[in-house]
Amino acid sequence: MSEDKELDEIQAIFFEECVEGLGTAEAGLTAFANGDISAEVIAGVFRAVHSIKGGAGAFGHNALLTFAHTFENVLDRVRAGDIAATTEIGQHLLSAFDTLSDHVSAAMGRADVPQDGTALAGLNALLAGEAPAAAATHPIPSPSAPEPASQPAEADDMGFVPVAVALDLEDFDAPAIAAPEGNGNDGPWRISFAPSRAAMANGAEPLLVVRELERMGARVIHADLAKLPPLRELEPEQGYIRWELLLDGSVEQQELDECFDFVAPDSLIEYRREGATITAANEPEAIVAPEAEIVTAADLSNPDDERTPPVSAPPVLSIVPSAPPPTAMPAGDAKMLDAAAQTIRIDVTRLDMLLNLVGELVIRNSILNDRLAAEDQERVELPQLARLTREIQDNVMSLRAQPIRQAFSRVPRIVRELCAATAKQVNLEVQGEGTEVDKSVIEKIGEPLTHMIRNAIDHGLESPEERIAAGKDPVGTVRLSAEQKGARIVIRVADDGRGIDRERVRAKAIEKGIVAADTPLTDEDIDNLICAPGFSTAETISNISGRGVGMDVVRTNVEALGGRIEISSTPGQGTSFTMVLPLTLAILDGMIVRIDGQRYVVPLAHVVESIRPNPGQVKALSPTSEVIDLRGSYVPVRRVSDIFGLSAHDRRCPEESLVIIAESDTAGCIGLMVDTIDDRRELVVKSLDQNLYPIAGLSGATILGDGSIALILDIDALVSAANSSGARFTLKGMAA
Amino acid sequence: MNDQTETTDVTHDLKIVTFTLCGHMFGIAMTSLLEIREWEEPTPLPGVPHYVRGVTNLRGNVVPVVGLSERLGWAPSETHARSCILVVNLDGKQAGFLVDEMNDIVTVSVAEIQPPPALDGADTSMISGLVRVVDRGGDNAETTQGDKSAMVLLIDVPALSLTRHLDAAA
Repeated sequence: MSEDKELDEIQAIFFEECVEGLGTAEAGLTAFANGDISAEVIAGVFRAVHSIKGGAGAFGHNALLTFAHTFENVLDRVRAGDIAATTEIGQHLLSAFDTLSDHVSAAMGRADVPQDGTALAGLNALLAGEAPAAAATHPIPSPSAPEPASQPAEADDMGFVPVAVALDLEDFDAPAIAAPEGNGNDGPWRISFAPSRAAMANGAEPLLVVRELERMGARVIHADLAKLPPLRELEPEQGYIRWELLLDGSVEQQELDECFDFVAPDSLIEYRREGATITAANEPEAIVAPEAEIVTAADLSNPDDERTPPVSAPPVLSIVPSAPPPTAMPAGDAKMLDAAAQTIRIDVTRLDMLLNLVGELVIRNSILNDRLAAEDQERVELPQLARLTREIQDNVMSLRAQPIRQAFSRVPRIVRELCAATAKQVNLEVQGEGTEVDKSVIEKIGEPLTHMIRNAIDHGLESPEERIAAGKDPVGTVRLSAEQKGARIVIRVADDGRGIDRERVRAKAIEKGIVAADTPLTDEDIDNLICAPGFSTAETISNISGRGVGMDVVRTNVEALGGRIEISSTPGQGTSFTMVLPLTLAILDGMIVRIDGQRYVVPLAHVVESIRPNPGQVKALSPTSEVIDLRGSYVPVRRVSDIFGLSAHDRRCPEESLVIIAESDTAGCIGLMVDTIDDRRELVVKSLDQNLYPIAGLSGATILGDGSIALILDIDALVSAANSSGARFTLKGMAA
Repeated sequence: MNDQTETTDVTHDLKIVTFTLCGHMFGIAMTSLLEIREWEEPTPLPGVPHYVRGVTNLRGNVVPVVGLSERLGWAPSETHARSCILVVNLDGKQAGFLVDEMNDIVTVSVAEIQPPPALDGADTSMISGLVRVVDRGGDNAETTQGDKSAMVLLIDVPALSLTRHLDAAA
């Protein structure tokens, strides 16, 4: 039983890797289809598909295995240059890729096994109809590294470039030596080897090295005994001799390097070619000491490279920093590959547990502080401890941050499918996909993002004919971008389409009874109508959009995340939808207020201002309701205890209270009457859902410094509850 | 609904924790008890049933506190120095229950547990059974016939679930 469980766990890891692999493959293929055809890209895709195939075989997902195998074969041929790597092929591969991801979903049990007959036939056709002539004319370098696992090997092809070329130091942590070809420098090696005195104590028996060199054909031509002491001073277990050996020039330098792999670190090792035809002979000594491991490493990673004489090492090394890597590998990708090698997988619940414990540590820390005598509080250790604890908290929080790439990764496929369904041509531009956001946010923006993309392509962009008629590029552009602004993340979907037809939106909204015919509406109001529930301008309901739920879903989801949506549109130029979201859902910047002895948290994002009312500034509207005169406009004022129906022990009069003007994203402003403002700080949000159930008017709770609980007010809910009777805000989704 | 509780389908002994509410002795199975805490006034919540007294901080978790006496339909407990909170695991959620006084931990034989008799108009849905135990203390507990044994009302812990009405609605 436990074995099954273990297998399940391994399989879960495989699936995670599949998803990552699919992401890599898709990014690569998209670049491929857009004309960025390089050996790196193809090899990257190949590796990803290869790993998926391997895992599929191990776990018995045969349908996936078969398809991945065929796909891999095609990629292999493309990689080898047998199939011309044109953008057209790239498109074919992309559609095959979609089938592959369907197969992966099926293997995960999330979907049925897809009908892959067509896709398989397509791939097989590619395999059968190879076009070597086309491949020969195509400028793709053919990577010669057979094993997909070793990344640096991808840099091989540059060894054939007839000028001195080196790998980028930063990308590969090791320079490669590539010498001018055809200098015919393969004279015999002259090797000097003097093991360190302590070599034998370190277990590095010099004789074994000499024997190994002899086995390769070396002859000892000289043994330098100058350091050999007189017999009575001689320590038999120390090294004194320096050997000179002569070795046939056909031996590769790598083999020499291997011989000296295990010599003691302080040993002297030199080798050079004798009778070299170029400068080597003039150089006093070209030394390849074991310390210069970079050379060894580079050579090992270029097993197919032409062996190069070490004599040229100094001049070549000097050009390394200035030589750009010939196969332009985007720095980001290199970084990703690098990062991938050093990541570990952690269950999110464990991270959350850690976060909980650290939060508790922070609280205990301040409780301790409160209980100490004043003079003890002055000591430096306590603030230091507090600062350290906060730092730990920040770090744990950042562990939950993930690049938004994860949410963006599904967009290209949506775009492809929509292009096919709408016969529109779309160029997708993605920016800022490395922006880091809390994992919970990433999980929840997928659906709104899908709707926004669908909306942009289906409603925003015109058909190619219309675009040509309007004097635009027939290929429409959808720009997806993410950036961090302070504690918020801004995700924007912009198209260069026709813009919002405000007259039509208004007419539809009146027709559907969303607004009254005589309501005065600004352009902004009309744009926001798009997000009203049940709104759709599409004449017919298509598969893609038009049911009138899309943008309503976007708005609801974004608001549930504590964010807001902004729409801007210029007729004929395009529309942009912007989601402004908090970076994290777990931490909130809040104002702690006190009402009737209870403490509550008002999220700072909603606070506009706080006012101590002058006498007469708060006016009664009815025996149970009040308004505040805020520079000429009247804003309803409520006491939290009244809204919640909690008993108020001693009601303060308005002049002794503070009024916090809070603005909701959807339903206007409200004045919250509180007794005092205690503090303003970052708080860890705890959901009430975890042990109870969500409560209307509260968005959660937090634990304060003294260990007690304060409830976090849900301003949106409070405002709409407070204003529900007023006729002023009839529209859901209309910001005042 | 009582036949789903852990008390009926087990043939061996059952450890129960006994406590008093309104002078009556109640018991819950040890297995569902997480810990016993001192009474601490919880933070009141708006818009919850009257028996939910609020939420409290249990090592970084926000846990609801329920007046068990009110929950079972008795008069609300008056809190005093010996008032305790029993922290109980309810389907993976935690909840604290206010009780008047902790009493004892006793082992009873499952065979001795009687199902609650069906009485007209009496809501016994949260009582899973009745069992007689030897009373080793507990000043407030009602002792019968002077033989130092008392009736314990065993509480059907899953029936206390605070979200059960939500599940039913869903």
